[in-house]
Amino acid sequence: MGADKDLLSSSLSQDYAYGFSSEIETETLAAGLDESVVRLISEKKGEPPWLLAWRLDAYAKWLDMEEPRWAKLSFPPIDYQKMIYYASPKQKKGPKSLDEVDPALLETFNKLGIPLREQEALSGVAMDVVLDSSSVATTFKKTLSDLGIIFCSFGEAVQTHPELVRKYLGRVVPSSDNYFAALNSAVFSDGSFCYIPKGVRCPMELSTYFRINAMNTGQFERTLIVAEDETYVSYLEGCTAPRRDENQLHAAVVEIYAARDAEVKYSTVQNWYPGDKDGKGGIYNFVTKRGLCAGTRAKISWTQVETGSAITWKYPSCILKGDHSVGEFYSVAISNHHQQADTGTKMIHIGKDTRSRVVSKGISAGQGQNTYRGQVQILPSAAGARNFSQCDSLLLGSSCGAHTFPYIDVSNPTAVVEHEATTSKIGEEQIFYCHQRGIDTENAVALIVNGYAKEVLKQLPMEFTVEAQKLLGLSLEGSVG
Amino acid sequence: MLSIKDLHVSAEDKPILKGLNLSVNAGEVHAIMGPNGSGKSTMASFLAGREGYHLLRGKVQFKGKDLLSLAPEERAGEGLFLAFQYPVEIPGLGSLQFLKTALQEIRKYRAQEKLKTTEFMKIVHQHAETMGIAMEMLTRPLNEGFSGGEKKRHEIFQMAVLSPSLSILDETDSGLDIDALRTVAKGVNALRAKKNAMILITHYQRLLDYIVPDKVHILFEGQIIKSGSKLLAQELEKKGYEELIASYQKKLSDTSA
Amino acid sequence: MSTSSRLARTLKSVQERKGSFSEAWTKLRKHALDQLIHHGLPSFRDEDYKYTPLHGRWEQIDPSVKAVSSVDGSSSGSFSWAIPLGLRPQEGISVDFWKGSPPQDPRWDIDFLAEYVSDPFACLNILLAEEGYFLDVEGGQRLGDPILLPSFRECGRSSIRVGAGAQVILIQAEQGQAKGFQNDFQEIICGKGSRVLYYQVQEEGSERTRVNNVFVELADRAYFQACTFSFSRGMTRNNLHVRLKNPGAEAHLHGLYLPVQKSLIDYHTHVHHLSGQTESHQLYKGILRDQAQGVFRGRIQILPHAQKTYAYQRNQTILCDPRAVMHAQPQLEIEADDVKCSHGCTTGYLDKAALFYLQARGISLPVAQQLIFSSFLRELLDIEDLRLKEYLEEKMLKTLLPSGYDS
Repeated sequence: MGADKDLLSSSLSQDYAYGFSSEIETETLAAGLDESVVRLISEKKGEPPWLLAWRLDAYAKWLDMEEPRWAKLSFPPIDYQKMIYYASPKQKKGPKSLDEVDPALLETFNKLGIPLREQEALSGVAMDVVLDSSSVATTFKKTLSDLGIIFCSFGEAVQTHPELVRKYLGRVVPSSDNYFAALNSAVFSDGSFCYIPKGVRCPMELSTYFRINAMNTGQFERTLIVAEDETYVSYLEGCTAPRRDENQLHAAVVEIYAARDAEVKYSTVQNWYPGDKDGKGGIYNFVTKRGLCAGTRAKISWTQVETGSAITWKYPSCILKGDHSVGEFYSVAISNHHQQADTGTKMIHIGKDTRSRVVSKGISAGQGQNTYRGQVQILPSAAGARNFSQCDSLLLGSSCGAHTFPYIDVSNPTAVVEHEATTSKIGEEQIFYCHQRGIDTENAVALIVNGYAKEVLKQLPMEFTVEAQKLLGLSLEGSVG
Repeated sequence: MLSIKDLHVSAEDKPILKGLNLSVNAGEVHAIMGPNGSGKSTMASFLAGREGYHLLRGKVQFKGKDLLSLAPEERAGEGLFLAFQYPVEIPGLGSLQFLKTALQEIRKYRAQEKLKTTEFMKIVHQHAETMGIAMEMLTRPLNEGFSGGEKKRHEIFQMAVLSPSLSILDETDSGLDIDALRTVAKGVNALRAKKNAMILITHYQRLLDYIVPDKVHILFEGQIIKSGSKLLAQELEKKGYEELIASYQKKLSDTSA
Repeated sequence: MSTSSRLARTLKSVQERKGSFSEAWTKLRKHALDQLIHHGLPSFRDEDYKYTPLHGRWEQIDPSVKAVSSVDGSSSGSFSWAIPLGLRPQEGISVDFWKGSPPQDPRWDIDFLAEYVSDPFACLNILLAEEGYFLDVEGGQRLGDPILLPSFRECGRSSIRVGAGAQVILIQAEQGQAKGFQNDFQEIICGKGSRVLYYQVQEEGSERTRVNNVFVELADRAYFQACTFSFSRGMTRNNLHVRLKNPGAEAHLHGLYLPVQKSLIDYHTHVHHLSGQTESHQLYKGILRDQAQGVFRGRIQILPHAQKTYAYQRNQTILCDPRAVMHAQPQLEIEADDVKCSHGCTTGYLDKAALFYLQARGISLPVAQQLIFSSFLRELLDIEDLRLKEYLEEKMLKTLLPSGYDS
């Protein structure tokens, strides 16, 4: 605990530490979106005709759709024609090794605290980095490929494993799923692809780091994870963006396919630029994440620590189709200053004896608005299904809001669904107790918040736990006077 | 009164009872002892008609009727009572209302007149006193918030009120301190009669100091491997199960050799 | 016929309705009409009516098809201990009945109504209401005997005002059996320190469709309890909107739902904490059998500065049949930090261990189920009017037992 405390106190004095931007030569398209932009992106990526056709189909669907406004979020209209849909660091061809990567790029990653080279050598975390829209380097490829694991940028997978991409792309999140998924399907420029062959336990954490750098660009990455029978993989995702006055759009899609006895753990520490204290700037984060437990005893577990973004709209979900399959969702979401978060999950029980567990911890401070929105659906086929949901809200200060909207639909009499929710504030007596023990207010808040979120934080892989704790303290800086 | 012949029962595809034979006559008290997992509680639950067991082979006759063809409530109507090892809590259901319903339903099964509330209360008061049960406890919801000892005393109290012909007490002594054990034993002894029989299922000999059985049986791996008088229980207390089982297994291998 | 052409016909019949309306009412009617034209009649696409499939019942709702909806009122015989409203003059209360067009009366707070009316059926009621009453309970009056409120034959609209410090018990019985649609609106204003117990008993037939809107306001230290017991066999939608306006106000909302066969019972509550130091407790429980459906949507809203508020909500359902469906949506919207709020929601099945325990004691399966169900529901019957309690207990036990079973 002592070490944590030091970390917290050092970080509390910090501002958004990732707000720098890098002078990297990028190749960008002109702002605006029409069919030719979709074609151009596909052409630049050298994609096969079927993928272009898929994009065009998604684009056509997107044109017919309306931007969803049912979430408890308020933001000005997004001008989709003012945005740049493709920005890629200028390179001759994809780098063969890190030596070929632009030195300025490597410098950016060093600033981010992810020196790829050292990463490769020391930490044993295989990492794919997506800057703006393009994947720039994937580490540890060799070790993984010896096991038959494919872990590469999405663009590369399209070239090297088109049959796998074609088989699974859009299978869990169809392009027509929602407005932002359709947009992503039309214009996604890169992302990560991961394939775990039958019987393989991935020996290391796989990780993707997302970074928006260029101005006025939207980021539309796509992640596809396929875990075959009897596999295990733990996947991490981190993200930052420079401090800019304009709002930038991030509309990603993550699809997970888990076959029989496959287990996929997906962890996110989301720290996009949240905007300044007055609510200026920040990322609009509209993300579609969904996993399909297709086989018997498949398990998908989502863990998220959402501290950044001006707006978060995100519902990582599980479709529990295989009998005895398990879905989990652990979330900590902070909204401070003028941040708004509408996040939660969907657990769709289809198979027999399926289980799901939802633990959501919302923290609102400043003028932040935090909404939990979650659906638990038990279909008539899901005999013996079981769900437990716990949704807690913590309020700091009197100008913030916490909202809970669970949707519970049960159509099977042998299912048991339980939902509990509580709302509390940090008690004066708790703060006083800390004061009396010599802890100042900011540290006390950080300690209390970390305790409150512990059940979720402990789900994160070790490397991320410390970062997440640090972020929680940082995000709440100055929220209690 | 009760006759069990070559009873084979499985639970979740695992055989539990493997050829059980037992005969109990009116007026007798039988003790069934055995190590954990020998099938004692399965026997009790199966006889009372709990779901989840599968009859593979065998017959059970109760007062000349085929017991296994009856629904649980019909078995109770015939006079079979099971004192549960873990009495179930039913929030909101008052103990007295529960007991009155049970008694009326049993009387209805036997085509007897409905009992008047005053008569019912008379029976309740009489037995509550013997069992040291405060009326306050009877106004509380069934088993909810009862201590372990209270639950067991309440089971015996129910037994007294329903006055069954055959009572099966499933580890009624487990988790009781010595005072509670005495109270329970006092209640049970008060109900011993020429026309009634009892089966005490227990792990320890302790209970048998207070309720002296006519016969003692040792259950092991779904069979009765030894029967005897109350002295058998004392022998068991001294030697432990291991020695008894070892000698049984030796005998078994001798016969097969 | 599509929803839009139904709406057109509905509106036409509304416009053709004869009667003279005061200026204020004309304004309100226009507002309601605009709302209806703008939003239309609800379909399954409307979040608020998603699980209330009224679109299958427009025939009944359509006021232009009056012929089939020969509505009957309730038989007050079941509640003989209560005093029917207006039967004889009662000290401390005054009643004004009206029929035809709603009268010009300062007790209708038109501006307020206009501001708060957004529900399509609250709008429809403004357009269709043909009978109703004003009930005023004088300040300080403590009425011991319950008052039996009248049931309406047409769309009804009433306003009840309870003066400061007054105490009153109200029983609303809805027992219509004939095919038809009923859309009532009731307003209950609880004055400072008043104590109002409002019991609704619903026992309507399978061809009835009911949408109730009950609107309650609580002043300082007012205590309000609404207990709705629904045994109706048709489609029942209960909208209950409670506004806690001043410190010390306390609302207790209880609801029971026992739908059978193809019936649907739907509770929508909206508890609005406008002031600090207010308290609300909600408890909704039900048992669903056959192909019945249950809906509970409970919204708790705590405004900024409504500090030291306590809001509690619990919803529990037992599903007994593979065809039965429950939809539950608790909703918390909290904008103040010094509050205690919680909601709990469970959906489960009959406890098999408890059932076996009862059977092993000689209790037959139907009676054992009845006992377990009634114990599950018992806490809802913790009501002060003992004769009503007795009536409801009997009704509940009867409903919980299979027909033809003699206990």
